Amino acid sequence: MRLLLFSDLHLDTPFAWAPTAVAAERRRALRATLTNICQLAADEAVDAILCAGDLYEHDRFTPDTAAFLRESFASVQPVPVFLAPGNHDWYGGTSLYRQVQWSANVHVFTEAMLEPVELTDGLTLWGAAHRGPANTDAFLDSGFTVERGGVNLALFHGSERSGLPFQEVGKLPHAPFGARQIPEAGLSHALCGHFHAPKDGEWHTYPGNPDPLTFGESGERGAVLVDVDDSGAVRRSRHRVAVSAVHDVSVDLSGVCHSDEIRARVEAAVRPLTGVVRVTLAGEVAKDIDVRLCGLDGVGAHLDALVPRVGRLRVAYDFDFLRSERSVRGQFVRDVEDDPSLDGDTRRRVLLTGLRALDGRTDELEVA
Amino acid sequence: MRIESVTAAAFGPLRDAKLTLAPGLTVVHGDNESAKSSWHAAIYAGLCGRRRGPGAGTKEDREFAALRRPWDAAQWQVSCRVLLDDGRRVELSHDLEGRVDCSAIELPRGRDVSAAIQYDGAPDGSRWLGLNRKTFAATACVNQGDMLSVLRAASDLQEDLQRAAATAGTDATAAKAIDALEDFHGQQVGLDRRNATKPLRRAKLALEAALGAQEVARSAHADYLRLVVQAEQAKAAADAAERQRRGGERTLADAETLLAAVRDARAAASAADQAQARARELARRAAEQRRRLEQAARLAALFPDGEPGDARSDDDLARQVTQALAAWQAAPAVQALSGPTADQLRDQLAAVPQPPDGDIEPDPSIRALLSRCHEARAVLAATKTRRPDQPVDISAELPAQLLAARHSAADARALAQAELAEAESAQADAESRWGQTSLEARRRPATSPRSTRATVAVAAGVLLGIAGLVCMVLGRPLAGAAALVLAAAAAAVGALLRGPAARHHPGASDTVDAGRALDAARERVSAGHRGLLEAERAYAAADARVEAAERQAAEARAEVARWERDHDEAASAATAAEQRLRQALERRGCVAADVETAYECYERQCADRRSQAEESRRRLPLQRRVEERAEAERIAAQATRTRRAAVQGVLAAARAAGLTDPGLDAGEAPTEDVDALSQDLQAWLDVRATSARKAEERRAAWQQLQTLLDGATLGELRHAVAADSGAADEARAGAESLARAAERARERRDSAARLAGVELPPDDVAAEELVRAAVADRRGSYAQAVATAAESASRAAEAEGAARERARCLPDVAAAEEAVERARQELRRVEQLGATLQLTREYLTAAQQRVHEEIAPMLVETLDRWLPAVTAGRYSRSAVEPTTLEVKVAPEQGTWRKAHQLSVGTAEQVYLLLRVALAQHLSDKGTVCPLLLDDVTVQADPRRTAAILATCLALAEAGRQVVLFAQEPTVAQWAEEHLSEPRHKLVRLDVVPVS
Repeated sequence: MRLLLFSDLHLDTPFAWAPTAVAAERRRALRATLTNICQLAADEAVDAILCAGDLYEHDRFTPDTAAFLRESFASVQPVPVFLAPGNHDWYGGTSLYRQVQWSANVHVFTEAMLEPVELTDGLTLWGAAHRGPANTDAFLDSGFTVERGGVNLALFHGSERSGLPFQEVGKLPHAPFGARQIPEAGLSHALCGHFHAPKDGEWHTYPGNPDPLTFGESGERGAVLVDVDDSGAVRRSRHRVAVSAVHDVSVDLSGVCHSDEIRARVEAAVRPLTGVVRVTLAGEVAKDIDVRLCGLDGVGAHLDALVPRVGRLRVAYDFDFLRSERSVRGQFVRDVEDDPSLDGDTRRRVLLTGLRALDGRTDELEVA
Repeated sequence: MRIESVTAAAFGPLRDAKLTLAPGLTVVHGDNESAKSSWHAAIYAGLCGRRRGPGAGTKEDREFAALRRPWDAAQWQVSCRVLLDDGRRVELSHDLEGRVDCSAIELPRGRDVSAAIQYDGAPDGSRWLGLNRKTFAATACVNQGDMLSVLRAASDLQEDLQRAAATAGTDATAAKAIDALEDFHGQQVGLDRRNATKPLRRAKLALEAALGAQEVARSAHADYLRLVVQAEQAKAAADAAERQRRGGERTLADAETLLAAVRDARAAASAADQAQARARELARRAAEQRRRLEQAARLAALFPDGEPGDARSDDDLARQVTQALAAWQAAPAVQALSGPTADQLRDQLAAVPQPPDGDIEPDPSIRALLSRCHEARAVLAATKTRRPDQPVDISAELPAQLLAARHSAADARALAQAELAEAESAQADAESRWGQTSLEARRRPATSPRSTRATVAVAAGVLLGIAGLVCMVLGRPLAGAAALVLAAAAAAVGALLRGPAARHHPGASDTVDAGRALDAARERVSAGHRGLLEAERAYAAADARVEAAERQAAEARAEVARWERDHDEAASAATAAEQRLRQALERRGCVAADVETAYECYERQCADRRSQAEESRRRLPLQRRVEERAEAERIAAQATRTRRAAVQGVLAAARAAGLTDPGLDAGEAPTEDVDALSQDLQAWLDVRATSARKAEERRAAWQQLQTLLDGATLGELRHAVAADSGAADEARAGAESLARAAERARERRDSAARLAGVELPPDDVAAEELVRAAVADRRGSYAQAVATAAESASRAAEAEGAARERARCLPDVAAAEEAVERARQELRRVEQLGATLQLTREYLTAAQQRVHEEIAPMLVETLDRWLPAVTAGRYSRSAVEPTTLEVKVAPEQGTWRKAHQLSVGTAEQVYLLLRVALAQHLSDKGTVCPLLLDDVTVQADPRRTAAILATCLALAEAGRQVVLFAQEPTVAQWAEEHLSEPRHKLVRLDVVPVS
């Protein structure tokens, strides 16, 4: 039995970091990723497509998304598609799952407890749904056991407890479970969603979000081909299905003499890249150079988007000497540097702003 | 630190030139084009070097390079030798062009100390002073422009101090920096006010707008979800209604199918029954035909010769005989009549008179009228007998004495009234007098017992008088009179008793007299009352008598009037009764002048008619006898005619029957003979009846045969019987087939009933009625279901349309959230900028305040230390405002003068002192910063120049190295006069030759 697993596609999700057009393009990329998944299913002749939740975002989905999903899954007929709603696409009275007239090959798990579906003789898929955006109980608690023979797989959206520390900040433990609960429940393997970082555990698999949702994502994310043998053992192979790339690069501005040189360095850094690139400016620049993010407009025109930000960027002031000055400037530097209530970024901004003001650079008082 | 020498290998116009400086004041004098400024710059460059870093460098760097780059050499080098405060001597070499070969070598060891004073990529000797090449230039170097600015305005001095305090004089003042921060805040942040237009407000408005758009988008999305749910629910309801409609349609179809099946079954059963009945009928008819054939065959055997003869040829004779016998037997007997004939009796009747016309006795009404007439006459006569006497005129004939008595009584009453009025007036006067005197008497002793007794007697008399009057009024004159007499006696006794008492009391004589007068007046009033009472009574009696006489006369007149009315009424009644009697008699034909005569005539006529009526009573029995006799005669004649006809019939029948004719006369034949002949005829009839019955039976058999054959032959009948038998067999087979079809129809009906869920009663009619009712009921339910389904479908379509409409214009929630995030980021940026600017301003303000507070005392100390000497004692005190660094000076006992109030020379001296103070303050403590003055005396007159030079010398004497460049001869002259080596030195520069 060959299954194609994916999760956390998050159709219609917002991209707060992106300009309007880029955000719209990112959402189109999510749809294209689903199309790739369907194409992969056809290419690999899978026996079923499994989605472990967060297929879309309930609070933002559009009717067009509903139509897109229906057509996408209808296009893979007769390959069955099993959908286990997650906390972002929870199943309820107003959910998209209820609105769509799914093709016959689509099965949506609708209960907040694991329910069996026999994929083939001797292989049962247990699926469950989140019935709300939060407070979904663990599916494997309360002494759940499959109580049947053959191979039993689970498909749900939940948090494997040991994986939480490795996920992105703010990830909530919806429907938590422990990896050991899987064999204890009589399950051969759990195919899960929720964690965006991929994970191939002994008893469970997280495919991760198949298309980038933000910067800094690592790991081999995508769709997972899961081959299940008669003993319940799984063999997994990951496939990239994303249609776009998101890169995170740092550009050292040390030694730049003027703003054009900043543009040149950034241009050189992003030239080999495609998709969306977030550029973090760092290094030490001369105090006379005004580093402005808006000065990078037009850089990386071949990219889908360039998202610049200021990282550990230092200005080449001789603060030690300035501290020693018996002038107002020296006093200012000493006061700011010695004030323990200031955080590093604020201290940096105040110092640069004050020094620029004292230097008479009255048009450059905004520090990036 | 002290600069010992400067070597310009290639610097501006200088080539391999060296300038050695004194440790005190060095005056470098030269004319124009003697490279004074170049040496000034070379000293600076040799000490501080040039910034070595990427980029084009600062504007000042570029200007310095343009001015000081060698004119005709590729290299640009300068060096200087300094003596540090710790005794070390260092050679600073600067490759100003390449800025690579720069070094600071400690002599004589040759140790490179460049790293210790590295600044902006190159060694900077000013770092040993705690300065850098920028601040050194601003602090230690004073040029002509600085002095000129002080000369232009004292405010420049203050600003120069502020600038030096802020950045060692390199850049803006702290105040300007703070102002710049505020300006930048105002432009790039702004206020958070409603009408503000700056970025902060714009960012907030943008965020509010984005949040609003996000709320709208989310609300629209939620509304969309709600509409979707409603559409789904409406569709579910529509589907349910459609399912119900289809169910209703199905159940209706089942019911209609059942109804058709019931009808089919019923029709099939009916057809089967009819076929079975017809089969039975045909079978019965075939059997009957077979029996008919058998009977016909049996009868046909009785008539081998064909049809028998007719046995009814003598039927007419037999009928005649029979009728004759019947007529004879029914003929009546002829009775003989006796007595007068009917004609005779009619003659007798004609002789009897008719009954009279009119009353045979006086009519009771006439009698009653007569009686009432008599009664009325009697009443009239009686009335006349009660006629009263003619009444008299009372008013005229009333007795004169009665009227006179009443007049006299009236006069007496008027007199009594007048007397009483007069007495009452007199009593009032007496009471008045007595009242006055009694007031005086109260002041005197009480009345004497005698007077008291007199008063008691008078009072008793009064009381008795009143009682007597009451008795008189009540109709008891005797008692009244007695009481009045006693009253008069008591009054007299009282008067007697009162008189002597008055005499015995002359002091109370007025009171006594007044009392007596009062008593007399009262007595007179009492008498007046009594008199008036009597007069009233007398007048009342006289008046009553007059009224009684008048009442009697009126009653007599009324009696006469009543009689006259009664008499008139009686006369009228008598006349009317007589008139009615007369009219009644006239209607009966009795007319006479006298009504009594007319009545007598009426009685006579009644007697006559009574006798005529007695005779006419015989007419009725006689008439009845006539009628009875005429009927008896008619019946007898009829019987005679009937008997004769019967005899004639018997005779005719006998002759027709061939019996012997006895020769009887029809009118006279004896009854016995006729009876004998009729018996013969009866016997003849009996014989004939026996033979006729046999023939009739044979004939009946023949007729039966003909009936059975019905015009056919026996053979044809056999064929018909065979055909009927075949038809009966076919009908039976058909009936059996229809019976099976009916059974199948019943099975279909039962199946349809099970399908329709209807339990059928055994009776077909009841079943059809039941199913028809079920069909009607289900049709109603189906119609309702159709309507419900249509309505539900309409609602579902509306709900779906609403959802689709909402979906068509559904805002992009994600885009709205992204817009909010962008707006938040912008707001965060602006707020962060605002917070940074604010915080920076606070730090700068605090630093400025603190540094100024430190500088101000130091400046004051410096000025106070030097001011008396450099101003030749004119000013000895100074003050510096810490907040603004405003400088004021004053003589020992004088008032404070601000900088702009000083003379130019004094201002220049003060400025130099302040620069020295600032240079000392800004440099590290423990070191002495050299002072490089370039052409600071060029604009000064000799006196001011001398003052400046004196100040410089004083400073140099105090241990500070001062290098002064000047072109004025007076300066050189002053130097020659005041400076002595080795502490001080004058250096004369030659004009640099043009190469």
